[in-house]
Amino acid sequence: MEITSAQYVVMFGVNDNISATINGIKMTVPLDPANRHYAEILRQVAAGTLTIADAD
Amino acid sequence: MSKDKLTDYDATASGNLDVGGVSVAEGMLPSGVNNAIREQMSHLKDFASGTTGIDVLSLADDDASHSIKLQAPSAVTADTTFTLPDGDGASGQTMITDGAGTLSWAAPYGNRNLIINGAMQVAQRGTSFTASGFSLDRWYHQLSGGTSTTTQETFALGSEVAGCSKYLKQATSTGNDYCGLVYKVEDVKSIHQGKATFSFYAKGTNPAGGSYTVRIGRINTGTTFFDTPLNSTVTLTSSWQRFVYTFDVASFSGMGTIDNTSHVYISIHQPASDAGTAAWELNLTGVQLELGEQATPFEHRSYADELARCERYYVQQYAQTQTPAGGYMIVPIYFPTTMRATPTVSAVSAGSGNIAAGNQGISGLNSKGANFQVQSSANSNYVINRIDAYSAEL
Repeated sequence: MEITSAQYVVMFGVNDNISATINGIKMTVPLDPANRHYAEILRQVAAGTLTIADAD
Repeated sequence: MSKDKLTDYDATASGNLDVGGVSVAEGMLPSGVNNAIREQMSHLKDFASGTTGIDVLSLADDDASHSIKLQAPSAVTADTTFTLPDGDGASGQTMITDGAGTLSWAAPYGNRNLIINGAMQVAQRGTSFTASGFSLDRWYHQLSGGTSTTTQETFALGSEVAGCSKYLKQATSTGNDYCGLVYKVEDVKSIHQGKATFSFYAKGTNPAGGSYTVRIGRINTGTTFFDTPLNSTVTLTSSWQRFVYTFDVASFSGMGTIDNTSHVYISIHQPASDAGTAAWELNLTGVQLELGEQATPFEHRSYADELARCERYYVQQYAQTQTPAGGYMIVPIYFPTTMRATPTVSAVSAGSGNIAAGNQGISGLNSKGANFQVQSSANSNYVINRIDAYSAEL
């Protein structure tokens, strides 16, 4: 899974989801550990190969 | 010949000259009558208690013109005792065995196939795929460095296999190890300790090494294999064949944490030891995973049933709204079924209206639905039509 960007999206003052580009497709990834995309984002963050940018 | 049990008795009276060693021939001694009757009573007792059997049990109709017969097979390999259930059950029930001879009434078997879309009917994402990712619903097209195209194909009328009208074709022009198909059954506890059987219909050509790997693993959390109950091979021919694999499933002891990412991992792929680049073609349908050691006939489900099951893992939803000038609109989206987890969203057709993509989006995601929100500028009245894909695949 190639993740080229990841940024938090804030709703009502809290992080609601992550806007990410995965395999070239822009996706909205929920903050659910059971979601395979979020699990992969967490894995890559832990491995130091990906950083989740703060929300604008 | 001594007549020691009921099945020894002769249907012709004159053929019965001995009962358990007691002569009942013409001119027998009077004292022999008592002994003969006693022998007969012991034979009846043996019959009543099941010590000796009969070959056929015949149940005649009222005028004895016809009968219904119950009969054991011509060769019985082990003594078997069936214990009937108490009462006649409910209307529509069927009799089942616990595998130890105890019979009971139960609803007719159904839903035994743990594979969703095993007949390759549902193709929400499309019908042709070249990139690694999900292809026909629930089926992951794994390239692993190879080059292949997975398509949904339709059998010619009259040439269907096992009643399936569709099949999956993975045409690989450049092979590589692990290139193939992957399927994940939600919940590792779907197959429990005992026997399980995996079966499928396939034809095609083989990777460079001459065969595919057929593998079933158990994953309790994340992506790490706890064990691999099935690790076998299949060699395809140019004719459709059914391949059956019965395997042992160990207990869950030692698995540790089992969370909602647990699953049964199934793959049919070019073997790990075969990095050959030769082309191959895998045609597949009628895939079934079931408990027990029998491969029962492929369980057909209607397209509607299969689609509903698939939508737990992937669904496309349409949203439309009209936003007044300077307005802000939130449209609730309800999924047709509760999804496995909170899904990832990607646009299938985003912003097919007169509003910029940056002013619309999805939020409030959960496994039951989401919000589609649109914000229009101060002096414009916007209409927006949008289709999004929601994926909660494993």
